[in-house]
Amino acid sequence: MNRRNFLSGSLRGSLMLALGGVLGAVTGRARARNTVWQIDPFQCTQCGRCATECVLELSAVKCVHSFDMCGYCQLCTGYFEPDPNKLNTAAENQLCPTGALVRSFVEDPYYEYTINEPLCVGCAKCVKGCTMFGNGSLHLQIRHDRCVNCNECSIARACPADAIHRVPADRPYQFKSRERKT
Amino acid sequence: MKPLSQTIWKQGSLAVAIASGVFLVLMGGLLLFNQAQGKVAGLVQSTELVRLHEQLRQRPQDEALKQRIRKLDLQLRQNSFTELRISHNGTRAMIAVTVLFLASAHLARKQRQKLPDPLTWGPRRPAEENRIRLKTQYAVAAMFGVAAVAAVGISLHAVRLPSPPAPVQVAAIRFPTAAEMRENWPAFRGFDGSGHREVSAIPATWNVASGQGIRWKTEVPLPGMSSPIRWTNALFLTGANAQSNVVYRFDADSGKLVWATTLRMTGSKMPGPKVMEDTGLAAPTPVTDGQRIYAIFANAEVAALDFSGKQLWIRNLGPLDNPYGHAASLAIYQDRLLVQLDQGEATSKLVALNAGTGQELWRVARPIVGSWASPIVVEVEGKPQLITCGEPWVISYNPLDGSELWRANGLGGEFAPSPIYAGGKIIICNPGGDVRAIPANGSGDLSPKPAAWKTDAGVPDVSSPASDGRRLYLLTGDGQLSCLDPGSGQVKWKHEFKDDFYSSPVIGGSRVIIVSRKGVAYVMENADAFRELGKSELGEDCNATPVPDRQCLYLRGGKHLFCLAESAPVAVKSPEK
Repeated sequence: MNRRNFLSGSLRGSLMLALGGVLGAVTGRARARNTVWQIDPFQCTQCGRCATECVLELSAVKCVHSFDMCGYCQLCTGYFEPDPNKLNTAAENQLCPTGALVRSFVEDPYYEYTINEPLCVGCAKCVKGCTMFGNGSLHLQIRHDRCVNCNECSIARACPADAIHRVPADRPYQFKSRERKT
Repeated sequence: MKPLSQTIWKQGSLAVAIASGVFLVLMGGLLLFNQAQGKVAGLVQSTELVRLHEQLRQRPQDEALKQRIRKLDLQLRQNSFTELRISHNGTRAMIAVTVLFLASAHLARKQRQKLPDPLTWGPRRPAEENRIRLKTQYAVAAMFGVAAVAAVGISLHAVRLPSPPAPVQVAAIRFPTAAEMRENWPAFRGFDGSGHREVSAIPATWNVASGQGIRWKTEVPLPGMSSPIRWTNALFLTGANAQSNVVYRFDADSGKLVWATTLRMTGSKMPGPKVMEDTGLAAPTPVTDGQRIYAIFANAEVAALDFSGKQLWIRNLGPLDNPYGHAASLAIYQDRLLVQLDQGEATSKLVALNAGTGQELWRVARPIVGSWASPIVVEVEGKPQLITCGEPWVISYNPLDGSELWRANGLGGEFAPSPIYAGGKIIICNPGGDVRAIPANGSGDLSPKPAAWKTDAGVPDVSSPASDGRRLYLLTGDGQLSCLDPGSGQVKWKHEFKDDFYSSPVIGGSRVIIVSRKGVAYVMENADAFRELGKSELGEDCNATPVPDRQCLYLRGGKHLFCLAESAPVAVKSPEK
């Protein structure tokens, strides 16, 4: 191999490598991403349609709780009816129509509120109470163990606040947190 | 197979097919009925349960009532979850029975006696026939194969992120000039919300019974507390009931109802909000930029219509939870429609929508308990300011991006009077105690700085003030009208009217008019001393604010829209579309 052949071969090889790199980068960037439906809790207006508009028998939307935002209140406005008769767990005092929000004593005067997920129908009554008068720690999310990821989400179609969007499947949830309150 | 056993198979499979078919029809009907019932709707939207809760609030010691609530609550849960179980298990049973039905129907068909097929008689089946049949089978198989490969390919293809919505093509809009806005009456209490028009012809008196001074009078189909707005010869008004939110256009010259557009919201209907009768479902006044009309209603539906009544876009910014009902009117600045939604400290917000598309441009949370005052947009030292009031803050924003310019606290009470800009100051009627003037050119938190002036004389509780820059008029709910110097806050005169007022005073040239809730109008001279020019009755209640015009005065009563002039023949119109 003479010097001319060596240089020309090296140049050709470098150009091929560069072209391959560019094609690889373009292909990588152009790769489509999977997406799923999710509710932006800051756009949600708690209209209650998530419970009734989903194609599933029981909605894929359920309440989730950001414990770092919760005030652990004795009088939780997400748990109790407005102006409750007594601060106990009797049906006439509970806001949740299915009793899915569970109230347990921590220490005086703090109570912890957890969600019994199989019972939650995504009606947003607790979310509305918590958002309007509390810290806003209760919020709705589409549960991806239930959602069938329809091409056109029937809840998104009915959502008056346009709060349901497709999000990348590798970041499928949009939780509220102390860092992101508004 | 022997004839007897053949008969048994045939009849058995037929019976199974019929039984499974009947089951499928019944179960299908039951599932459809369940679906129509709305799954958990009965559980989460039980009006009976809400009614019982209301009763319990009135009779908190009623143990029997508590037991009824618990019983109904349990019953609703059981019903709903039973329906869900039926739906869940029924669907699976239907799949199994469908397989059984198909198998038994196929078997029954196979057992059916058939007449001899001539093609099965070997010698009569031509070779050509066999070849065509084979080709057909291969072709069908190939088509299925291609379809299957395509289906697998499509299903493996990842879902792409939707491309960002293409900007909606909106016809280029020419923003009206200040002179055009001033010449018309495009918003609640006029262009800048000051309730003042330089050239006007407010009649001193009229007589509804004889028709004297009534240029025309047209029935408004649906009720509303909103006030009319005018752009050239078009008068716009809103009305609503539990079923419909409607925008009306009337001809300003003849009073004829030109069109009535009922807003159409896609998706299922939002349940109507609970509102007080005094507020109603159409309290906010619409706004126009001369090319479109924008309206908002108590259920938070905001919509834009063109001047022919075509709905251009609609959005719902709710649900709203306002103890009296939403009342703040809309404001507009260039292409930004500004919506003040003060519903409670955690949910109060200010939203700017693109006037052409309805898309949200910006939104800011507001530290306001709740308010019913309308925002105003004013120009201070060449820069626009959006002024908003509510307990406990008056806050000024840049209407372009929602950034806060200044704020001052100290407001209290249930805040209904809107602010005005007069003599370089923002005048605020604080139902919690005083009327105050704040210089509008500050920045940051102005709370520690003293107000330019304050007075506790004649503080309005519902009505908004009016000013022409030389005089400031304040009207209390129980009828005290005060005239002040807007520069110093000095009271020039006061007068007590034995009447109740919600409607705000307006100034038209040299006259001032106020209208009581019973529909009695008082016209005064716009002067430094009190002088009543006339008193007339509308013949119906009135809560809307009058619109002074160059030739006449437009006024919405409880049932009619009036055009009042110094002297004119009567023309009573019935609503027509």
